[in-house]
Amino acid sequence: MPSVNIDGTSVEFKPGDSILKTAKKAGIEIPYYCWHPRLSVAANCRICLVELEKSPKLVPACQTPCGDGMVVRTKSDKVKETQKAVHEFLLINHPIDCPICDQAGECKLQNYYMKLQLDQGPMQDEKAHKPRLEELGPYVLYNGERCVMCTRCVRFMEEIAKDRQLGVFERGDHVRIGVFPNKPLDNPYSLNVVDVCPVGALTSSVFRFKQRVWFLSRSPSICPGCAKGCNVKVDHRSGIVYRLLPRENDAVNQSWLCDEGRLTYARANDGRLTTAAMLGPQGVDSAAANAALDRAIQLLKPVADSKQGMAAVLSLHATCEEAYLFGRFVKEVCGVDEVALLAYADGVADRFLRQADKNPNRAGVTRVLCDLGLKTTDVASLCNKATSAVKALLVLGHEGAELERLAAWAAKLEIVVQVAAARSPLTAKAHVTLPATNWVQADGTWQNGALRLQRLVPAFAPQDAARPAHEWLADLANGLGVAFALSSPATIRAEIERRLPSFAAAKISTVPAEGYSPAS
Amino acid sequence: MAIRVRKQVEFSFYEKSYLPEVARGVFVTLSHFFHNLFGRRATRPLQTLRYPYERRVYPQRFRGQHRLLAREDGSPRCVACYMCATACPAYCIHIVAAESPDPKIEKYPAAFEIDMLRCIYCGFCVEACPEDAIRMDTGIHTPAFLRREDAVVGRVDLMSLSGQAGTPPAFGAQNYREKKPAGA
Amino acid sequence: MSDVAHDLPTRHMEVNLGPSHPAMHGTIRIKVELDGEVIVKSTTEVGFLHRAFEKECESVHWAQCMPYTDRLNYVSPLINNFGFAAAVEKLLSVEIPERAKYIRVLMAEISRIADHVTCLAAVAMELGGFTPFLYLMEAREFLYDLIEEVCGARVTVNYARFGGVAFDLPDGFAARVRAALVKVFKLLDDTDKLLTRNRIFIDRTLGVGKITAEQAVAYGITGPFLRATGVDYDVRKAHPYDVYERMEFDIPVGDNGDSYDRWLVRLEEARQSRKIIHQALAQIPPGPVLLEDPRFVLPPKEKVHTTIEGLMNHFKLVIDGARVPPGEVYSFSEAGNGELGFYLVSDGGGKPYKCRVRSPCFVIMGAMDDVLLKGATIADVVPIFGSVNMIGGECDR
Repeated sequence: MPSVNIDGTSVEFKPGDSILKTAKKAGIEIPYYCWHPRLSVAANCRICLVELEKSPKLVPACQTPCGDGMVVRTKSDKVKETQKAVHEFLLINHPIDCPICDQAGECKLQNYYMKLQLDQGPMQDEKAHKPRLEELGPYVLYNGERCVMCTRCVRFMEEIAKDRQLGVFERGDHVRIGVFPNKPLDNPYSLNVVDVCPVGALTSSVFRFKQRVWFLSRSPSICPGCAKGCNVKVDHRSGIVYRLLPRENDAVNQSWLCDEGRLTYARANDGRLTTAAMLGPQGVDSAAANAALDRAIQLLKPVADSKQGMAAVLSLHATCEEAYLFGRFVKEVCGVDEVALLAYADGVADRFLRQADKNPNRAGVTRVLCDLGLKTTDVASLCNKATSAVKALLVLGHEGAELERLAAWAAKLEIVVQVAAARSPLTAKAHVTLPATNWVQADGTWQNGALRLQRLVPAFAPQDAARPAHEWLADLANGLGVAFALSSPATIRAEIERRLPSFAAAKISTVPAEGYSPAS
Repeated sequence: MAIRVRKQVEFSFYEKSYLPEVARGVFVTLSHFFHNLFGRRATRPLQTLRYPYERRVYPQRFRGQHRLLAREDGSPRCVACYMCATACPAYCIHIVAAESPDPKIEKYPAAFEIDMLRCIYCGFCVEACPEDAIRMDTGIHTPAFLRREDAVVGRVDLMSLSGQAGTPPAFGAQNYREKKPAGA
Repeated sequence: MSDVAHDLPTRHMEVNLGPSHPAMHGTIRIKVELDGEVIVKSTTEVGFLHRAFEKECESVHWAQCMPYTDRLNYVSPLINNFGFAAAVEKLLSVEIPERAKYIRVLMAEISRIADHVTCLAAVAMELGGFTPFLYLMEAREFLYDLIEEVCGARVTVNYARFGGVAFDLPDGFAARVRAALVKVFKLLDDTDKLLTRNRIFIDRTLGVGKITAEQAVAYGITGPFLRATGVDYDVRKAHPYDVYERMEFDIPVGDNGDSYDRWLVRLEEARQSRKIIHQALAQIPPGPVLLEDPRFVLPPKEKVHTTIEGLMNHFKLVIDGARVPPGEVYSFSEAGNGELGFYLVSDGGGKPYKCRVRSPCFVIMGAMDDVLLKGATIADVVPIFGSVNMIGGECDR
């Protein structure tokens, strides 16, 4: 294998790779603004200039391909001086905006200043003034003064989103990024330009001023927006989710997210249920968790004894573990043979990330139920059944298209028990509501449309009385005389792997961080 | 740099006969007594001020109750940058940022609360503020309160206080950014 | 004990002193077993003011630990501040400007006088002399006025910064210091006149709480406590820091190691501190009081308000904390009670990995049960404990 010598270490490289890419793989740090691993090379920021033996001038590491036997120095005095000078020039017209700029804390200018510059430029003149608050699109704001013209956003729109909505206009001191006349930045992937922008020039109007990034904790999770299952990072503080960012996964979403999926972060905050509730004469009242659980057991006892008259509704946002416990509960304890699936209706799909199926776990839930021997139907068909034939309704989940209809139908029933993470039209009609954890708090597995199993990691602990849905189901089963003995998601996964044929080969209990696609 | 050693204590005859020492001691205390009673106010050993009618003037640097400074038009200088909340070792400042109606200012604090019960009066918030929006130069102590909730002082109350006489005019990053001279 | 007493069925009486006790200042509990009035066994319990300083420091940035150090020895907070800052400066391998060194010496000595004055006042009060207590409290007020003028607060000073001190001395400070010291020492001399040759005072403190030099060194005791036994160890002379080599001062040393000697040593040390202060005021050069090093010092306000580099620097330092290079250091200085040591471990990040305080009075408390209180009478507990000058904040951290 050919190799280059970087800072005294010999590093092997793939022919065609640039010095920057090779150094990055070897763990040697070379700074960059305009380079992005998934975009074309622009080489306009000049911060990655390195010393190349036998070359009179410094060369941009992002653009120079490696040659066998090259000697590169990235930490020599000449390189350090150049980095200082380049950084000084990048800051010449930069406004003193840090107090009002959202990028503070994750800004490349701030970070590289501390690493490379630590110095003052001598410029005393007035800085160039440009428009500071331009709405490029419904979610993206542009500040011309902060822009360093790295053109990452332009290249993203052209090469990844394949929609040339951004361009570079004017030149010299007047240069700016802009949209074309009558064509705002309304591409469904527009918020990715906020991710790639290394400074605070492009910011999200949704996240604007909500929180400072250094207060946020970060957890890996999966986007609940559709069956693609893009990997996300959940940024949260004190139990509130502030934003979703894409997590790197070559097999699913590379480093991108669609706007629709990104904006599902609000679903983790809105209307969260943290206390149990029971329906009393004056309407729904909050109740102690134990009291609500006992009442639910009491209500479901006749159905459990007769094994007749139970209707079950399961949301497609449930994890495989929750679906498994739900399926076992309704089949073994209540004698149900058909489960209605609560789902969002199909939506827009495209050739990039968005899938038509807007539910994150249809594949997993349907396979779990099928392997348990249960038939599946939809909520519409369930609501067509006569309410006289149904004594009780058990609902797990709160997200779906037909909730109004289900609520109206359930209003006529005698017993409605729901286990849900947030308020929905059904909450006002449920006799017992048990608060569950949502996808941000769940330790579970989703299977996306391509049958890839991906893990959800809890970002923060459930508050007050909220508990994972599988714990509620296990307690209900216990109260009705059936012991499930499944204490944790790990044990549930082990049992799924053992018992359900669809998941045996998939090895659900050992899904790694980047997910796992079974060979079949 | 010599080292001195204390001599062993031996009572002299003078000291063993009690009364001379007693007289000396009483002389000391009586001199204090007469000085305090009849001496000039300024040179008395005992400096008692008839508070609240007479008050000590606190030095300029005294760290008392915080205050938020206002711009010339009355809006807060604070742009909710969260530097003070980050620098505070006691985590006593809570801010909620919001979009300012003035596009030149962009950001302002919709809520700015300091929990005075948590505050340790270190002055890091003043040091951290890049806009010269928060100062502790009011020269007053935090007023007493009867309930814990009253100790959380909000933006309106913080802006209603003014600095001691002789505080310098406000100057911060916004004066450069918005091209304003040093203001109140 | 007479023969009659031997035949009587008696038990030792257990008396509990503290933690809530007028003489147990700083909250400490001493459980004594008495045979009549003589202490047969004593158990000292410390820790009532434990606030997890060392653990707390691990969760905040380096600079945010400074207000916590104020609250260690809260009678001389400036010495704690400077000790911590000096330790971090050793990790950073930087030297502070000359003027900052002089200011540190000056303010530390003012603080030391305040510490000794408080100890003398407490000893006097607990033995019944309320007058000298109030004289010395008045003296302390003059010192607090000086400290407040410079630092902005009397006790919660937060004055030291890595690279120097936070603010320069105000104008006319030297004259005010000299005027204040005249008043302070007038009151100290009055106290001296009232107590030092006082028969009752000497009866209560001479020969009480004796500790030999070997025992003191074996326990690791330092400061006035050690010097009262005859050992002339003072960190300012043995391992000079800041500008102490340029100061001329003597170290008072006692003979017996009893409470009376400790009283005399502290009194004389306050006078030596005055000597140092006068020299510092005479020698102090003009210049900056804080380094300008963008790696760990907040940039000057003009740069923060008018340049993007200064503003970014400021933001990064506040958000991430100063990045102290990885390493460990034990840095020690002479506090009011002895050698105050800071053992710091840095892992290269913005927060300390470990911050351990070697507090001088905690070490002295170790000798309480086995040496100081053994064989003493219950009335002796007060002068012994008073002369230890146990500051709860420092002992328990």
